[in-house]
Amino acid sequence: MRSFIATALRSGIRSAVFTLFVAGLILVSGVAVAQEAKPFKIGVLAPLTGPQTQLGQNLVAGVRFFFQQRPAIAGRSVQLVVEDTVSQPGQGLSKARKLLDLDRVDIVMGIVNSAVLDAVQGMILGRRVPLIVTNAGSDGFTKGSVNRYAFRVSHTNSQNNLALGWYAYEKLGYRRAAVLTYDFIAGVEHAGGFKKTFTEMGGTITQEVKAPLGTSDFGPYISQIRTGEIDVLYVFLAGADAIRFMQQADSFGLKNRTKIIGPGFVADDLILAAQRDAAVGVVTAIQYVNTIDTPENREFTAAYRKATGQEANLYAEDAYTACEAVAKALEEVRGDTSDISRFVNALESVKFTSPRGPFRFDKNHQAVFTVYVARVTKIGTQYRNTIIDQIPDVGQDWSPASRPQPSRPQGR
Amino acid sequence: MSRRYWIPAVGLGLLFLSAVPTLLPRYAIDLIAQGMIFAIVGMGLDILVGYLGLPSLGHAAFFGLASYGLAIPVTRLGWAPWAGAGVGLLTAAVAAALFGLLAVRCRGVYFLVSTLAFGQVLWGGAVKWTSVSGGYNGIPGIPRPSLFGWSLWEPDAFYYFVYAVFVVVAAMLVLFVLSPVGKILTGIRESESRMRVLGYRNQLYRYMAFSLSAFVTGIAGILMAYFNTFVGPDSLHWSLSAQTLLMVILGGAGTLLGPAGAGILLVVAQNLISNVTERWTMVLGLLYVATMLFAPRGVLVLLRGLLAQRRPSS
Amino acid sequence: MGGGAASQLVAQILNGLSFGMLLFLVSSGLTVIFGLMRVLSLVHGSLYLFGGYLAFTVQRATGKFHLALIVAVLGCSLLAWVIERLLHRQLYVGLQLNQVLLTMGLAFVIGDFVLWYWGGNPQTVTPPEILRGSLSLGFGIVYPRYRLLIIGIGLAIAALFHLVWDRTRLGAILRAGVDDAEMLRGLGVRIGIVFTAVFAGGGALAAFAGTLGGPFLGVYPGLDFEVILLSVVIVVVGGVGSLTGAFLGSIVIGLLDAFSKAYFPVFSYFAMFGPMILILAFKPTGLFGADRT
Repeated sequence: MRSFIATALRSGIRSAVFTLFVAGLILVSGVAVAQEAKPFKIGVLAPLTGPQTQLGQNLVAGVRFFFQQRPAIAGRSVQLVVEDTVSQPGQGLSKARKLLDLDRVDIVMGIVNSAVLDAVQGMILGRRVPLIVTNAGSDGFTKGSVNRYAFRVSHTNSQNNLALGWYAYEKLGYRRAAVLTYDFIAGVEHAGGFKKTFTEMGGTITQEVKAPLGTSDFGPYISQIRTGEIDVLYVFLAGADAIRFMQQADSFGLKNRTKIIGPGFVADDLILAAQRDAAVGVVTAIQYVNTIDTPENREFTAAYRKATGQEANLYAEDAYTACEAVAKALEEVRGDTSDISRFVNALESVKFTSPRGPFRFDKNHQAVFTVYVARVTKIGTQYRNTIIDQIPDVGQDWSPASRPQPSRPQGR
Repeated sequence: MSRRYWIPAVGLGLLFLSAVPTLLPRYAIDLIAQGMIFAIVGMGLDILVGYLGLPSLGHAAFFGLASYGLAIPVTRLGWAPWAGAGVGLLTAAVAAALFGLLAVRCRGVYFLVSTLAFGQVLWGGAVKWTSVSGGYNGIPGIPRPSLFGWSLWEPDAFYYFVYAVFVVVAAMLVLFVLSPVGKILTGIRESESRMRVLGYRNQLYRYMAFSLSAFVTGIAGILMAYFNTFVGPDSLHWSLSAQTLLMVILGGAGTLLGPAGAGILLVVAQNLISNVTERWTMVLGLLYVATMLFAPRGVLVLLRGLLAQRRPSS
Repeated sequence: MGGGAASQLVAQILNGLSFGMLLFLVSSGLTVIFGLMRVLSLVHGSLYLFGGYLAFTVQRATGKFHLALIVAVLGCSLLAWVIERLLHRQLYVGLQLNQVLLTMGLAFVIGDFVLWYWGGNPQTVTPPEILRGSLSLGFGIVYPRYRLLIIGIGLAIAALFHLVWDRTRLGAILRAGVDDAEMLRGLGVRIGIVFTAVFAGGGALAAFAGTLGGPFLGVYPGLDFEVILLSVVIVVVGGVGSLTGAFLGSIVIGLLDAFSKAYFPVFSYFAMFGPMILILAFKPTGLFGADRT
């Protein structure tokens, strides 16, 4: 018995030494490979576990789908390094460090969580590595004096809401609104966009209710809303919170007493299947819904369904469009990224039609896009975001005055 | 384990750690620096768990408080990074002195749960008090200071700074547990009533050790804030407390160096494993289960047992 | 919500009660397990979540709520039974801390399995048609039927527990076990079977709560730890091993949740843990607990 243990121990030590050796080898070879071959390396930061898993999974699916279709760009093969941020800034920093130091990626893409974005942007941009955000919405990232290497393909928190506030007053005829939003910065920025244009048009905000992230029971908040004095309830919540809110609001009969509007996250294409009847009739404003009726989007949604077995959604489209922008810029410099500043120049002037419609960056590298106004409808057994209107060319500082000619509805 | 084993083992360990910047690439240097920071937390918590028998599920509170205490004056009021470190340590110490008055009244699971509650209240505060703490987004942009003209922005300089703090803290704690006070603590853990009969003021010693443990954890919090140049509510969350508790148990509660080694290894393992699989949480969970089933008194104690069995036959 | 401050107050009380009753279903199992076996089983929240997901899967496949409920309850009592049988040697000896970490490790494993198998998408269980919508209670108060049902079920189960606890042989065994498990062994009770049964029963109750809570809270990764944290607070505030404590604790926590959200939103983050620190400071064994650690 003793000798058995001794042998086991010795072999244990031996295998431990071996494991260390292999680990060391992986470390060293990781660095060596990065120096030899020259594929275009893209680091993707996304939450693959933790509370925002669902968003991260769809983001990554969008990136993978794009490069499945186009494995090489301008003669350079593309290599993806996907890392899990767990939606925690600390973990995001660890992974950003890994992408920069170990993988030596050419660019970093993704990021769902604003807190992760705030934590990692200094490190990534400080190394002059372009960072292309595809979901995190904190307004500040593309406001003021912006880093040359910072880009955002997705919305700012207030962007869609600026258009929605105007639309709610002007087109939907609402005059008095209550606001239910998150009690942290993203909630303030989302609701802020809505309040700004809605009150500038002449609307009144009667009441503001704020809930924490991850609220289990919305009953106490729903019971507070004085539906007698409002035309509409503006809601910003996302993911599991949005599902629970809609279910609970439905059981309280809230929709019988008032209308509900909000940015797309309140009832996006991903969570509709779980919200079901509870969300029917809700009107939202967002840069992408999968019912957009254009050749580009029909092709995208069909191919995406075929490749992944899932319906396309906002998070996948944001990532897909970001990849398309990167590919366009890479073609522009003919695959030569030895001078990263030429690549950045090419990226800031890309202009193309993506599944969501016309796409470009403004001078601060923030995406300018069409905002779609959609109503949740039940078609057969399916729940869809049916487009009822669209507001073209919405930038991060959009105002009703900057609005071009009125547009005609376009949707299935 | 006899001195025959552990003196050379510790010597080799320290030698290896001191050679890391010359041997390994930058990624590994940062990783091991981070590991040593958690090793300090492990040793601090071990004072509480191993020498007092009080399991804390809220130790991240002192870690996070020190980070916030550093970050707030430095980023909001423009204080010097070193002055901020003083504020951070003071914050952790004052919090420990106040909460310790309540906490040492509880035992076992009640201690566990009251520390959990304390940590979660602070976490709630950090999330809610946005104007001061930055809320969910935390406080980015914490500057690193210079030391003797060396900028700690240099990865090597920062590594050696952490290394030095680690060695000093480890040495102080070893001296502490070998001192008469350390013996008294062990005595209280073994038999409270006997020590009371012998005339020791048990609660006072508990209170002192609790404060010391929290202070050491605060030192790690300062280092972490410099390392990440960022602090957020996650640094106060109970899940971090749970991980540090695992370090202590895995390394062997009451061995001081065991938790330190487990701290380094766990950080390195977490990063390397999560680089290849998303299932780190599952691995971590299985590690908890395996530790409790096969090495409930820690790997070090397990090894010691195996070595002791081997010696007579060799 | 129509009506004035008074009807709002009633609505908030009902909100607190419905959430509290759901928590009671989890915390009652937890407190008996804790009292009897001296194990703070953090895996209890995972059984809640696992039950919710089982129910979701069965309902999606068959469309039947009652079938979903049955499968979830049976599945989770089986899982709890397996966990207890596999780990009981380590579970009931050694340091209490080790037991906590062991169940915490299991909770991580189950939580990550759920994430891996069911994906990150939050899901919901749909209640039977008859329970949807709301009911007018008069005085301008309109309240969801489903929540009223949860309050009713919670109260009924509490009454049932009260009878079993006080009037039956099983209750007598459990009460004696909470006081002194060793004595039971001396009296010839096969304590191992009692432990297994209680653990499995607790699992069944957690899954029952997970399914009932499905239409109300949804099921999603991370819910396991939200539920267990609140339940631990309830058990500790109420006093370990005390069903009365768990019942009152659940109501207190439910009401605190509702009232802090409605009237003192700033304190909603502290509402759960703040009172607990105070209670432990003055009565370190909880409101209804005897001194045992």
